[in-house]
Order: sequence, then structure tokens, then C-alpha cells
Amino acid sequence: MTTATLTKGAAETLERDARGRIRLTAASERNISVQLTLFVLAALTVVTFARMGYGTVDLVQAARQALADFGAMMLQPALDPPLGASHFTWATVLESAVITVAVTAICTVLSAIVSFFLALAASANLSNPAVSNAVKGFVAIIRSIPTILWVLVFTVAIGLGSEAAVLGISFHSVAYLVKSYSESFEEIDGGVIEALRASGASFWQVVFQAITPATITKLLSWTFIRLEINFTNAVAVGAFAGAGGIGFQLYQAGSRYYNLHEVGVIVYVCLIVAFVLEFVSVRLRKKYILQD
Amino acid sequence: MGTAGSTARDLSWFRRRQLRTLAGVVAVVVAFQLCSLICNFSLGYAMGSIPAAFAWMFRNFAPTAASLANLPMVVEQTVSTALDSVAATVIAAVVGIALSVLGSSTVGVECAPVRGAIRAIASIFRNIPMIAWALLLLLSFKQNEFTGFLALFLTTFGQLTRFFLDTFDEIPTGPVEALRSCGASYWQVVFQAGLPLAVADLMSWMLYMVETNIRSATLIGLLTGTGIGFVFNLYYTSFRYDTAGLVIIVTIVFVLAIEAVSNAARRSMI
Amino acid sequence: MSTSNHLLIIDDLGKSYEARRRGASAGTAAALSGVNFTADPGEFITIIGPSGAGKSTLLRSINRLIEPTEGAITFDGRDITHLKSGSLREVHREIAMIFQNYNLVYRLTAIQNVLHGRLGYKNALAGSLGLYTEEEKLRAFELLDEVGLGEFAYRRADQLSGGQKQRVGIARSLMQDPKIMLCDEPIASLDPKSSRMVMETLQRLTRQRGITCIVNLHQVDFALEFSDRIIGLRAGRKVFEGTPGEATPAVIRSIYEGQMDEVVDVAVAAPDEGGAGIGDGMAVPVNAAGGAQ
Repeated sequence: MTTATLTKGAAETLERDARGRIRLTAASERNISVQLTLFVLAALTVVTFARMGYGTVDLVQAARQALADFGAMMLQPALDPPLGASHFTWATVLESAVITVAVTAICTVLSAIVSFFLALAASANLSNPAVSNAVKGFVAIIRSIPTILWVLVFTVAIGLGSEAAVLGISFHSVAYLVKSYSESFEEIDGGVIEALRASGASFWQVVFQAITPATITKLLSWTFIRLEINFTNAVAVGAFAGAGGIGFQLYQAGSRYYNLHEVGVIVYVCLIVAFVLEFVSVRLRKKYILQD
Repeated sequence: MGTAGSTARDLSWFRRRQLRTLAGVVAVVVAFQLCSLICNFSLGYAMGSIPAAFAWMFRNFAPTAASLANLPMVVEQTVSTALDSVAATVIAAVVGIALSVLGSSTVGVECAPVRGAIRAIASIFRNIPMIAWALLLLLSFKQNEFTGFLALFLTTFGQLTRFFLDTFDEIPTGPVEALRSCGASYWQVVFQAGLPLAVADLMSWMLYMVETNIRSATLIGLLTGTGIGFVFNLYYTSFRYDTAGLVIIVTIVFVLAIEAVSNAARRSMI
Repeated sequence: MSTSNHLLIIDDLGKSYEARRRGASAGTAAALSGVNFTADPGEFITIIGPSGAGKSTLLRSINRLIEPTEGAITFDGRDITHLKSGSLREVHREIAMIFQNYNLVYRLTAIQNVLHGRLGYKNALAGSLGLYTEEEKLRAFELLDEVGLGEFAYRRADQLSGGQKQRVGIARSLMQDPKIMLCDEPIASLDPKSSRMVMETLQRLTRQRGITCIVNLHQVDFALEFSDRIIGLRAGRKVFEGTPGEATPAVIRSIYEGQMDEVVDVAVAAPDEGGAGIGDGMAVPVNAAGGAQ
């Protein structure tokens, strides 16, 4: 039996569990929120699998086919026969990619401008509590509605077309950016704003002379992140907004012509655009942050 | 002379900054116009129709007594969509955490090509459009909930792996070095330093992913004919707007509740 | 040279980096070259020199956290210069290390951090899951007590002060049962009072156990006060080796030539840091199987 000689304080600190083993964390200070969260998530997962509808297909067979299909999509992309079926030309695919990028850009610019002003109203340090809470609450509700539902609503309310797609994507984009922008605004040192106000600067002078320069890199950073998300969303809703675009071509290829080789080409075009956007956004973020 | 020189330099610096700002604004305006032309977008029409669209929404989407009869079904579908999001996130996190540990720059494997391959896989899976996954799986697994789950899992996996990689890349390297210098083995370093240092952020990303996945699951449900997206579309395209409105209201309540719970969980983990 | 008496023999050790920076001329830059010294059991050696002299590179080369490019390291009669990772692990547990930034896992408790010193002795599974024996846990408690932190065993590492963190670091090192302790600027981030406390703890505990201690120091007066032997490094080369008595002001000046402003003078501080002092309170024997007797 090993014994140790401890000072009184240490001996009093030492705790043992029910089986007499020495504890490594104090019983009173144990934080089990990680374990609890993991347990809840795991339990919900089990419940999900238990009540999920698996359809009538043989899952093993289906998995094998899905793998083969994935191979056809990624390893043999083609538009022309024999693999492809000439439903699309390179010109239409590239043109629709350009349209989707244009939709993405419009959504990002529009939502960045709107969000900037809404975020000023939402920031606790620039606005009054009632307005701030009202804007934050409103934005939280907007954010909780899936993008695709916004798009579907607008297609009926204002008709099919790029406007429905842009508005649908932008609503969610605004909700996201207002949250991110206002968090950046709220990180500003309160003393700076107070000092400028005390020297008689107007609200808009404070905004454009102090707040914008101090946060511009963060705002741009969030905007570029959103640009990437908006592209993903523009592809996703393309099939439903009637605005054309690469998402619509993708939907046609997969859901109407069932040609995975053509799907493959379109997927690669989407991948390339996504990589370019990511590359550009990382470069721009670096550039703007270095300038600071 | 020194003062005069520095003043001149300051003025030119200010002018350069102003010019740069101006150039930026002009570039954005031109790009915006060009994009509007390309996709046939009318800013005036879009902005002008927002009030009418909202008026239309409030008029038509107000749930009626008839639609309330559908409430149990709507709630059930919302629950199943939320559960799919949780399951897809959890399974994706299990795979994602293994890959991101191996691929990270702090506690990753020594072999650089392996790390690069893991990053490439995450990036490709993340950027393949969700619709493509859904359409691909529909061919083999047909229209059912499991297909939606699989599509959700595959996109979530790519995104979570990227977030997890960033998290592990950012943990302090000091404790990792300290444990290596104690003679700890690879997995001991991962479990005793890497995971404890990253756990709060990993959990935060997971909860964020559950929230986002409810939105993605709605879209995927449209294609796989399951969940809340399908129900919304069904009633919406058959002009039963009162029930469609009910779907939106139930979704809002669910998402806000999930956000509140996960924010509370995040706070207690710090 | 007889190897039997020396615990550590550093022979002509060098480390050079490929010059990768754009614009720099191609070739290699030596961070360390031709360093020789030996260390005997129980010796307290400090390495002084201006920043960028290679002190940290030297220390990290000894336990191969940095791979040296020239020379040889003999530890305990065994050439460890080219050991592969498996056998390196065995060596690592006998060479403990203490860091300027303490490098504790801040989310874990002090006692869990101390137990990390045992990882080198445990199998992968038990170590990964943090399953320690009762003997190990009691030993960790005892060591924490010895560095004056017995009452802080269940504090999370990020709730401790700098001096307390470093003493947890010392306890973690002792938990390894090392033959050598390498200390990389152990007090560079601490105030003078905590610095003295840490240096005294380090000296007392290593002397009691006959552990060799090699310390990189910025504070020359601490080096003079605590060391058995001082090694001066400048520009990657050893420029001095001798007892504190031989390290006259002129010698110190020559080591720090042109960089005297870097020599830190430390006011003599009171030797206790407040809180739980070392060795106060009455001794209570505790055994591994049951509570206090």
C-alpha cells in the first residue's frame, strides 16, 4: 500500500468518489454540459434512425449503385455522346454558371448595404435598447425561415424570375449579415464613440469617421464568407425560382434526363466556381486585413 | 521643413484613400449593373414588390381553423426534419472529427500528403451542390427519408470537417509540444491535449450545424418528398396557403427554440 | 573522454536551417554550431545569452523536439542523436521539460495536468482515456503539495496565476521521474516575486532528487545565484563556461556584447508568493487505498 504525506490543506482538498477512488475533478465543479449535450444528440440520433422511413429498396444494393453512380458522375463527366446526350452545350452550361454568379453578386451587394444600416440599428452601443431588441428579434425570425421557403413565397407573390431568387436569397443573407455586422460593431471600444459624441460629432459622422474605418475589415470578411454561402444557395434554389442558372441545369440533368455524366460536368463547373470564390475571398480578406 | 513634408504626405495619403474608396464604390456599382443585365434583374421591380409581397403573405398565410386541423401533421413533419438534421450532424461529426484530427496542422499525422488529401476530400464534399447529392441518391435509394438523410450527411460532413480542421489548427501548440516532450504517444496527445483544448469550439460548430441543417433539410425534402419542405410545397402548389403559412410559423418556433437551447448549451461549456 | 560519469554529453552540436525566405541568399543559416558541454547528475546549469543566441534551439535539440543537423547527444550512456520515435518516447520520459508559457492544457484541472507527466509510462488506451492508478493520483497530489499547490488540485489550469501554472509545470515534470529537466525561460513571463518562488522550488526539488537541471535564463542575477555552472551562448556558439564566481561582470558583458540592455536586473523579492506556502500546515499521512489516517 502506497502512502503519501500531505499537508492539511491538500488532504482536505482531496476528494474520493463512491468507490473510494481519488477524483481528478471536484464533484462540485464538474461541468458535464459537454457530456450532456453529446448524450442528448446521440439519443436523438438513435430515435431518428429508429423512426426513419427507409423506403422499400434493398439498402446494400442501393448503396452499391449509388457508389457506381458517384463514379459515373465524378470520373466520367461528359456532355456529348456516347456518355452524355447533348442535352446541354458548353455554352449553355457556362452561360448559366455566369447567371448564377451574377445572382450571387447582386444578392451579396444588396444584402450588405441593407444589413449595414440595419446592423447600426441593431447594435446595443449605437442604438437604443428598444430598437436594438426589436431589430434583433425581427432578424432572428427572418433567419429562422429556410431560404427555399422565402424563394417559393416570392415566386408566387411576384412571379417567377431572377427577382424572386434574389429577394429570397437576400432575405436570409440580410438576417445573417445583420447579426455578424452588429456583433462587430458591438466589439468597438465604447470610449471612442463617447469621445466623438462629446466633441459634437453627429451620429452619421461617428458612423463614417469612427465605426466604419474601425470595423471595415471584419465587415468585408463577413461579406465574403456570405458571398460563398450565397453562391451555394443560388445553386440550390436555382431549380425552383425559374431564374435559370446552373442549379436549374443541374436539376434538369438529374431529374429530367437522368444523365449522371452531364450532372458530373455541371458539378465540376460548380466546384470550380466555388473554389475560385473561396480563393478570391481568402485573398481579398488577407489583402484588406494586411492593409489595416 | 520636416513638418511641411509630413503634412504633404498626409494629404496625399488621405487623397489616395479617398480615391481608393471612390474607385471601390464605382467598381461595385458597375459590377452590380453588369450582373443585373446578365440575369435580367430589375432592382426597381424587386424593391417595389416587397411591400406587395408581404401584404400578400399576411393576407394569404394567416392560418385558418381549417389549417389548424393539420397542426399535428405539420408538427410531426417538422420534428422529423429536425431529427434528420441532428442525426446527419452527429454522424458527420463522428467521421469529421476523426479526419480533422488526422489532417490538422497541430495534432495531425506527420505525413503531409495525407493531411493534404483530407483537406481536399473535405473541400470537394463541401462544394458539391446539395441538389447534386440529392439527385444522385434519388436514383438508387428512391424517394424516402433515408435518402434525404444521406444527402444531408454528405454535405454536412464536408462542412463540419472544414470547421473542425480550422478549430484544431487554431489550438495552442504549446501544450501539444509539452505532452510530446513527456513521452506521450500520438493518441495520448490527441485525447489529453487536442480534444480538451478544442472541445468547446467543436461542440459550438456542431450545434451551429444542427441549426443550419434544418434549412438544408427543408430544401432536400422538396426533392426527396419528405419532411417540412415537402409539406410546404404540397400545400403551397395546391393553393392551400393557410396550411403553408402554418408550416412557416411552426418552423420559426422550432428553429428559434433550437437556437435558444444551443446558445444556452454553448454558454455552459466555456 | 570517459562517458561513464557524465549523464549528458553534448558533442559538437549544430543546427542550421535552410534559408527559405524570399530574397535571402540561398544557403543555410546556422542557429547553433559546435556546442560542447557535459552535465553530471544533480547539477544545476544555466544557459545565458542574448535573445537569438540559440538557447532555445540548444535546449530543444537535447530532447530532439528540434532535430540537430550536426554533432551527437549522449544521454545516460546512450547515443540518442538518431533515435526513432518509439525509443525516443522512452528517452522523452526521462528528460522532462518546462516551458516559458507553462503549456498546460488550460481546460483540465491542475491534478490532471500533473498526471500528464505519467503518459510516457502508460499504454496508449489508459493514457488516452486518462485512467491513472490510485498510486499515480496520490503521487500527483503529493507533488502538487510539494510545490505548494495542494489546495489548488481541482482548479482548472486557466484559473491559476502565472507562478502557480509554472509550479504545476514543475510538478508535471517531476511526475515523469526524469533524470534531467530542461527549462526553457521558465520565469520569463513572471513577476520578480513569482520568479524567485519558481526558481527556488525548481532548485530545491531537483537537488533533493538528484535531477540534473538545465535552465535557459534571461535574468543574469538569478543565474549567478542559483547555478552550479553557467554556459554563455552568443550567435549559436558557446562563448563561456564556468562557475558563477568565474562569471565576472566583464565576462557577462562579453557574452551580451552590444546587447547589454537585454540583461535583466531583478530586485530581490520576498521568497513567498502568498497563498499556500510550501511546507506549512501539519502533515497528514494519506494512503492510496483509503482516506486520511
